[in-house]
Amino acid sequence: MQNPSNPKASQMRDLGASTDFYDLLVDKKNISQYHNLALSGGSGANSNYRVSMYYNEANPIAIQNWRRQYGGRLSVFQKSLNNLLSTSVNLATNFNKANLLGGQAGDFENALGRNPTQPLFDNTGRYYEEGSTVNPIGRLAQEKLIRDQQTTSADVRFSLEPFKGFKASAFGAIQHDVRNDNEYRPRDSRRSILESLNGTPIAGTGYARKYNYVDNLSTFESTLEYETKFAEHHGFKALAGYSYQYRVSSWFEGINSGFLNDQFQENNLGAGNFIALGKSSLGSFKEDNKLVAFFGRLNYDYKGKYIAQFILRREGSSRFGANNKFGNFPAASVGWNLAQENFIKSIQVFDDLKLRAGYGITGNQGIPNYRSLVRLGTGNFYLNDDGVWRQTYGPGNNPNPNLRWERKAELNIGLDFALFKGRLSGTFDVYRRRTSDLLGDFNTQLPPYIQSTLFTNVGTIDNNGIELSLSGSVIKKKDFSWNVDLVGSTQKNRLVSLSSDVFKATYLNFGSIGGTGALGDAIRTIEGGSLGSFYGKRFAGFTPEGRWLFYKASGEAVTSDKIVANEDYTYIGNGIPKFLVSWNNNLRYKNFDLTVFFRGKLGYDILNLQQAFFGNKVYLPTNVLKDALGRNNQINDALQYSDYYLEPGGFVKLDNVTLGYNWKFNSPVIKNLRLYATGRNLLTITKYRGVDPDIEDTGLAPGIDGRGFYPRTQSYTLGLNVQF
Amino acid sequence: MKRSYKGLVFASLLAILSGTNACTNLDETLYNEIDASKFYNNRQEILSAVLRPYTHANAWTAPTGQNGHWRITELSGDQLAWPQKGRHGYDDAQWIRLHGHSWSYTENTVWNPYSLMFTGVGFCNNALGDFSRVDFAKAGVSETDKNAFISELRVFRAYHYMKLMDMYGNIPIVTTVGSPTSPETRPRAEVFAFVEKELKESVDLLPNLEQKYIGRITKAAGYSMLAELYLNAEVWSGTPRWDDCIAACDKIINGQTGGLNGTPVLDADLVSTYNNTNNNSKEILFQLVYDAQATPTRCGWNGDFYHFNQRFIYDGDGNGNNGIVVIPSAYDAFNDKDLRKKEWFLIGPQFYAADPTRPVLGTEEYKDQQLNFVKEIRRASENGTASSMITGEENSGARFNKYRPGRQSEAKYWSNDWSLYRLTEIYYNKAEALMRKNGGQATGEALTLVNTVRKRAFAAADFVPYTTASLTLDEMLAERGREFIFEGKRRTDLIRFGKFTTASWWDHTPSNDPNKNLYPIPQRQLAANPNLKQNPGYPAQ
Repeated sequence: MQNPSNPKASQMRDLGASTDFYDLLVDKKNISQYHNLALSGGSGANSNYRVSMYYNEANPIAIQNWRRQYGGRLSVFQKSLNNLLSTSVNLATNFNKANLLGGQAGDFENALGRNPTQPLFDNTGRYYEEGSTVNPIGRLAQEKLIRDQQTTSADVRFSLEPFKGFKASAFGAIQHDVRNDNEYRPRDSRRSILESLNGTPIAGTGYARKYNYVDNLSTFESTLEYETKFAEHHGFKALAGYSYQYRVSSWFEGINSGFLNDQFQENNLGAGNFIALGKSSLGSFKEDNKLVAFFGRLNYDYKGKYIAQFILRREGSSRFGANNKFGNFPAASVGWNLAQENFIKSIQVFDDLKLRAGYGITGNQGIPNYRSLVRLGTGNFYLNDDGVWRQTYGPGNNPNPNLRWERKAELNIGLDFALFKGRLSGTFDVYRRRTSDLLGDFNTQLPPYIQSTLFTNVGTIDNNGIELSLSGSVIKKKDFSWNVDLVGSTQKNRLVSLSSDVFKATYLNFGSIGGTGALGDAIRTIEGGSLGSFYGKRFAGFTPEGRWLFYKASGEAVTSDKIVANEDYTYIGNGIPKFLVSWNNNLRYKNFDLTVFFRGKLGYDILNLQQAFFGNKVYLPTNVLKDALGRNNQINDALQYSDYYLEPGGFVKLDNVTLGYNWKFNSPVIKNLRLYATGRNLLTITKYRGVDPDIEDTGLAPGIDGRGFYPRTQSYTLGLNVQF
Repeated sequence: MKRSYKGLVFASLLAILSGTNACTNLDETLYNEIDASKFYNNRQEILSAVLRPYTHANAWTAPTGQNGHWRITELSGDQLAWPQKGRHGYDDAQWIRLHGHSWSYTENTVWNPYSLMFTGVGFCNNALGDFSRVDFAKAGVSETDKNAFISELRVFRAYHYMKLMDMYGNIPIVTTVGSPTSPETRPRAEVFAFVEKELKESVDLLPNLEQKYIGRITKAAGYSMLAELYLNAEVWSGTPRWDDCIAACDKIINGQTGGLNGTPVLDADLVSTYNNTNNNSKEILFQLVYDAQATPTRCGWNGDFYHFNQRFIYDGDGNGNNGIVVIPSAYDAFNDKDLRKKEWFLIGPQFYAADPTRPVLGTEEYKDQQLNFVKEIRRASENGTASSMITGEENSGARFNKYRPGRQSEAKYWSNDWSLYRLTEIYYNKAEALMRKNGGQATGEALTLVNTVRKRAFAAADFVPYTTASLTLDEMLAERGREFIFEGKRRTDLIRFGKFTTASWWDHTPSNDPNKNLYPIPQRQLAANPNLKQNPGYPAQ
């Protein structure tokens, strides 16, 4: 097989076997199931209940990766006090056991990179290992990582309607989430032999870890609502309320090694001698936050023709600086129901025609806790003058007492319409969103600050777009009908500014490429530029020896060492789709029904990192793609990030096809029975040459297809619904 | 009747609402971090803040895998390089640009040392600022201890500024956290004066070096800094200060700044200054201390230096990124009889420490073949003969072996301290100052100082002492290179001898651009602070 003229031949050693490591990671019998049973009853509208229970077994495509959960929900509703008070209570719980050992993208990357002539086992019957790497199949067979999780929630709502038009409600809820992770790596497992715990080699003495996480969320909300009409046509509805939310999370973790045998696994952490060596690990953590709001809403309508709404929310979050905890967020909207106007009625075309306009401001507090405070944290151990090693303490952040709410102002104008007796209906929306006081960890002055970034409010992002949805009934006959839904949207993003009065940045980088070769960040957003833009070198060809050539800013093609970072870099693509479209068809023939759903994203680029790494011969002796010796065979140079690896990402997918059959029974035992079959992700039409063009396309680092090679799946479901 | 019923409803609802109105307190509580206003209640708490800059210095003064002062200055010099080795080590040409002195003011190799060192300054400033509000007597700390703590922080801060001045020259001087905003660039000579003032005001309030102050800034460390400051005064301030350098060296040599035996002495061999029990070294004047047994931390040089299978060579647990190697001409600068060449480098076929007959295997070009480190940086596996920054392979170059972790079974495995100043440097500094004062000619005392050290590196039969004729300034630079290789001092020496931008070595051609003696002020800070001024020869914005 070896070609003597191939200079890389020494790196392509034939070890004699033929192993498909990737295939060994795939769970061939990955059938999932879901069973649900619901009962309901009661004495009509004044008192009723519903109980449901379910069991679900999910088996994703990877081995050593599954989830089994069961749970139930109980809902009770009752009216009392002469029907003035209604009470509803919900109780729900979920028991969830999951195997988290497998299913990581890194496993598939590792498997794909292994020499395929390598055997799975060596001649002593152990998993074949080389150097300091870990055989992924061996790791999954040797180790254990199981999560036991239980989530419980309870809520109660009282609604009192002492007289018509007036309603007072109080709502309280708690959610309790507990996770218990159990991890063990036996003594003869590869990682137990290879790795260290707190700087001391485990040396084949086992590794056990327990991790407990508890999260509690308490919510309370009370509202007063009053509805009345003046002078027959003037309808008013007013609401005032208060809400409170408190979340507290904590975890505890213990890790030990140095076990005599594998008997205890993670169930007797104290037995390992790394405690005596001072090399076991103990950790714990706790944080909490509060969010409160006072709010009011006023609705007005005149004859159902003119509609107006005003909202004012005053929200407070513990996460902001002492003087900026509260923010005011108003909103107003107006509507004109044109279908009620005589001049529209007279055309006799529209069943519904409504023009809407709204403007509102909302706040965002989705940031980590405690970012406004000076926090002294541990800084590692140092030797004290009494000979004892103790933790040092210093500030881990720059405090920001001015931290405040991020605000999003949105102007929206829309039209709802229905024509031809409901055969065609749709909505059309145009929006402008401006997010200001953007929250983030931004570059700051160092000195005088201690750290190079400050969690602060800097900058403005604009997001403008159009959305159109149409629903039509194409055929509507007794035995046959065909309904179509079309949805399309487009939007434009722009980073308007990245500066505040004190802090200034000219760009932000996102999308760290990682892996061998330190290829840096893929995406850069500058003031005035679009979000999600790829920024880097422009490919100009190869030298006869196969070295990369890139364009300098001057237009000259040079080898990569002559390229100056930034000066010669430029915008080379964008990862956010310009258009999103979908097309859904519902067909019904007698008792059959058929759904066919297409979905597409158009007008964006994908950075194909699988080609950038596995498509370059220099990646040997890690196994490479055929493309390394095919379409990229010319490359005889280092790993590089450039527009050479950008590909058009547009696609249309046949996302869902469901065929069902319904039986109607007149039997008192069974009311209804439905059998259906669903196929998902059946067909993709695209120019993209990677695994799947449907990748992350929102956020700040869109359009990057990583090295992970997690398999994309098609799924088929068979379902039966019975109603008694 | 109906009215009173309504009234009752309103009253009870109001009660519910007003009860909840109390829930508007949004003060935050810290659970696993500390609120500074509740800290510094006793000596241990105060000391924990004094020691914070030391653990941070691990990131920038030692080769622990970050772009600190150590890595960036070594990789732009004539001894160490991080060449591309097949698919590894190209790293977007950042190491090639360091070697070729073509760094850009936007890149991380320029930004990270600035950021790391000024964060260290921040830790010093923060502790000093907090201490001004602490009642030391109430915390049970004596006036002597208080002054020593404050002096220690001021001297350490001056050390940061000295290294910042070494790299970037003209920088802002800030002594309080957060104030002033947008601090202005100060010229290098002013930074020099600030460092000198801070050191001189504080060094004599520091304790003498003794056992319990290992790893701390004592008088020995303070005077070592003064010696370095004055040795480089001509470059840094424009005015030579040879006599001040000699005076600072004499303080240390004469034992006035303490030592583990009262007075520091040269270690007898080439190993005990660097091995895993080097906390016993009588030669080291200031080190970062590590104890891999008592703490989870060790001096993690493996990331920068070690091969992917290097753990087997030492019977240890640390592999690395197969990064930094010795430039062939720097290896050749050692005479074959120089024992430092044997002790401080790893070269040749490699075997398991735990099984000396079993070869350690390669993982890349020499996958499944014995790993055999060679001096040259060539693609021998492809019959390549060129030796350059892009023609390395996995076994290219002699490797770092000055500090060795020892075997896993050893009691102090990988507990090596990282030396920042040792007595040899003081000897060499004084010798050089004497020579410079003497028109570049070695004096008798200079010869004695250098020969005393150099004798250690040769078998008695092989040792040829320097003479006035052989110890030229060029030879002094070469000898400093051999003695301090891997110790993070080479760029500063090359600049002081005028060679950094004018000399050629291996794959480096000189820029002959004196502006390259300074790194640029990083773009990130120019963008954030309008009062910063770029160094000459670099883009202003």
